[in-house]
Amino acid sequence: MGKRGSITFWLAIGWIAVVIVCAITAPWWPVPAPDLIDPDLLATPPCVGHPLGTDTMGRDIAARLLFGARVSIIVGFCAPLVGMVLGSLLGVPAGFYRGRPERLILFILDTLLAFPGLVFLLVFTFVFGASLTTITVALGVLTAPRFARVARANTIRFAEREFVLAARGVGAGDFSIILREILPNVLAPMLIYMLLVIGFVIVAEGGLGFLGLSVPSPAPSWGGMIAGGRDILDQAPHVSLIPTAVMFLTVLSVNLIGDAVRGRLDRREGQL
Amino acid sequence: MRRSIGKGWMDGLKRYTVLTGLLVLSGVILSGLWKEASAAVPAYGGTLTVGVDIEFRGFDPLKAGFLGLADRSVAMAVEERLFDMDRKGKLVPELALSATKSKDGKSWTIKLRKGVNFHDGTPFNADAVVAHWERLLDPKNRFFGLPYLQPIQKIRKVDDFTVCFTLKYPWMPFGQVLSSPVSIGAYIPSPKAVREDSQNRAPVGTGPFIFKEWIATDRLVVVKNPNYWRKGKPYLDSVVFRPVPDMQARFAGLQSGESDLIMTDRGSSIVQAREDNSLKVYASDSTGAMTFIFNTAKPPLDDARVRRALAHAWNQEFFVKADYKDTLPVAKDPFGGTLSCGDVGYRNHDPAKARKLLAEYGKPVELELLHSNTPRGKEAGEIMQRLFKEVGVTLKLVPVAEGQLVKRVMSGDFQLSGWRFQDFPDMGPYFYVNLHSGGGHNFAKYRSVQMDELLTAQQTSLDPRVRKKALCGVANLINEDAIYLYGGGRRYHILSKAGVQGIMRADYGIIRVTDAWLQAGGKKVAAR
Repeated sequence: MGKRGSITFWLAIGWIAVVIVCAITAPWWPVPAPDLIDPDLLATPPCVGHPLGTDTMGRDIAARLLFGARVSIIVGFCAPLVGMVLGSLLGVPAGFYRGRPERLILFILDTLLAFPGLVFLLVFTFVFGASLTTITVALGVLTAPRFARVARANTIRFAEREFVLAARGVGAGDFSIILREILPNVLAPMLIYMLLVIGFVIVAEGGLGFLGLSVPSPAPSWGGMIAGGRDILDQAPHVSLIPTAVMFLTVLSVNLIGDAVRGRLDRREGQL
Repeated sequence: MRRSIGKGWMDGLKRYTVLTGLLVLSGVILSGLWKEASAAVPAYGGTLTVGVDIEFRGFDPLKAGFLGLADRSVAMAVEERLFDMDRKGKLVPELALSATKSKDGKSWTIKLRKGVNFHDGTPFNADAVVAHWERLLDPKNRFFGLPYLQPIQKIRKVDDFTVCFTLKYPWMPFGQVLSSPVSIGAYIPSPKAVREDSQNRAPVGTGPFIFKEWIATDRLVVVKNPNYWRKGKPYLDSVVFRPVPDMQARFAGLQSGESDLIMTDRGSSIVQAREDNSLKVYASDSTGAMTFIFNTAKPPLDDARVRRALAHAWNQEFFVKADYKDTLPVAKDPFGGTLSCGDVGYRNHDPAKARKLLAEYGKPVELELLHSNTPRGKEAGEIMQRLFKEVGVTLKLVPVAEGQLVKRVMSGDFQLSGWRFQDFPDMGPYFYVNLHSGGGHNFAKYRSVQMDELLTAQQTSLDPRVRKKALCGVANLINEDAIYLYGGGRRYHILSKAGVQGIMRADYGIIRVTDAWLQAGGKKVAAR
């Protein structure tokens, strides 16, 4: 990895840090409330008092971005976490025991992977209602099969290594082998995979927001903001484009970080 | 002498100048007239492509129940009514020739036009009219519009081309029943198509265009009726109606030439089209209004103080500006300027008053708003949520599909929902059904003796002044008791390419394709 690579890596880290700090400090910024309507300034470009302009209803875009960041960050980090836990629960036993349990679990995973994601999300939010929790869980479940496949593949790889054999030799049981020998080794590739999934989840949440199925109003979400400006894209493009740019940079940053970390880890593992 | 020479010379010059001037002027005028004249002679042929807002519902009164906005234009192209109605509400003969009221006002004799055939060859006669109306009036058929027709007792055939309606009591809006362009029951279908149960998806009428095909969510095509009884019409060879639900895509389709004409209520498109010389804008105000309906039977909305407070918290002016770019009028009554009632006690945006009324009520108010899951519905919901928050009322937004919204409101499973007042030429029968305590469509579950009296007065009176007073009283009571909130009046917009001629108006949102023609003989007929 050259110098250029590391610059983009640190820029990406910087951007994500900024987004996280913004999400945490959202209420303390000197901007109007995110649902405050300014009836005289509809879809105005950036001006004094509205540093990023207003949307079609005269609400401050900067304020909505700040509060929308909370949704994106919470969903973006928690949903992959849910997916990782579920995925490990399915993938590690499958890779460890092989045979019939593996075939059964693989069958379940294939079924889940073949199920259209959007349909699943629509049904899930319809049944359980749209809230931050349900959307996080739904997206977590949706990503679980991918995590399970990563977990299984890595478990198979490590289950045949010498240190597992050694542990078995000293009389360790299945459970303790999985917990002490396999999981710590499987965790690293899972975490890296998680970085890539974060990007996917943020986009998926944006898609739900675009369809009006993400967190219920008045809480703003980036996807909802993009959708809200779509109707006046020809007259006031900033209403859609600013949140689009923010979402784009965030997803790009997460992916760049994921790539860079994976590169470093691969090299380290090669030395193992 | 001297005088005559000098003057004569001057006169000659003057005359010459004047003559030349006149000649040039008349040339200019003539050429202008010539241009006008050539523009006014309709050209035959061509296909008109029309972008409409939503998929069609169907055309069988019993199955479709009512005409959607897009269906109106198709119904008018394919089918005809007994009468049309001019702008003053006078009946203009269409399939009928005359309507005569009996002395007691309780029976109407209608003479029908002879020599007209339906597109399937069935002759148009008294049997066709009687069959259609008996089908609507039969309570077993549960026609959606039946509550509106409640004053009609029966219809009978007098001879092959005369029918007679009998009313339970003299009823002034009866003429509207025969002529309203928005009522599905006014259009006479082919009895054969109805018998064969094909009318809903493949309407057959006597109109200027013959139904050709309807491919769901893609297009509905009608072609010229060569045997149309009005000689010389229509001008177009065919009309393609394309449902394009996305407002922006519909307007983009017009700009790109994919459509020749669209209906829209998207403010920014209308504003843009007004400034675009290659587009024409037709606008017509109408009765009715966009509204939000309260369920006045469920707490806390059964308390008029809460509803009044919400009416003061609501800000129609801002909503119309933000959501429609001021392309809709602000409605204070549902008459769209057809009745001038003066002050009807409209509740202005006044948060202080709202807070005071809520304080009198004393309990915290939490509500659910049903709104359609479209960008517009969502925006309306968010604006209302914020305005109500201002006075301390929590509003939860429940986005649902349009069909589900209608179903939930009709079954009373709602607190507050997006809704609309239909746009009948005469709003009397509509209110009778929607606001009378015994009305068949009283979805607001509103009960008031005063309202019932006003509604009965307008329903049974034949005196226009009495009716006007009663109707204005209804409008006043709607505001007084805050049964509905207004979300803008009705104003229909049709946008067209400059080359589309003969569209005179956008009344009731109907695209009148009978008189439409394309300049320069129309473009190439589409290959499909």
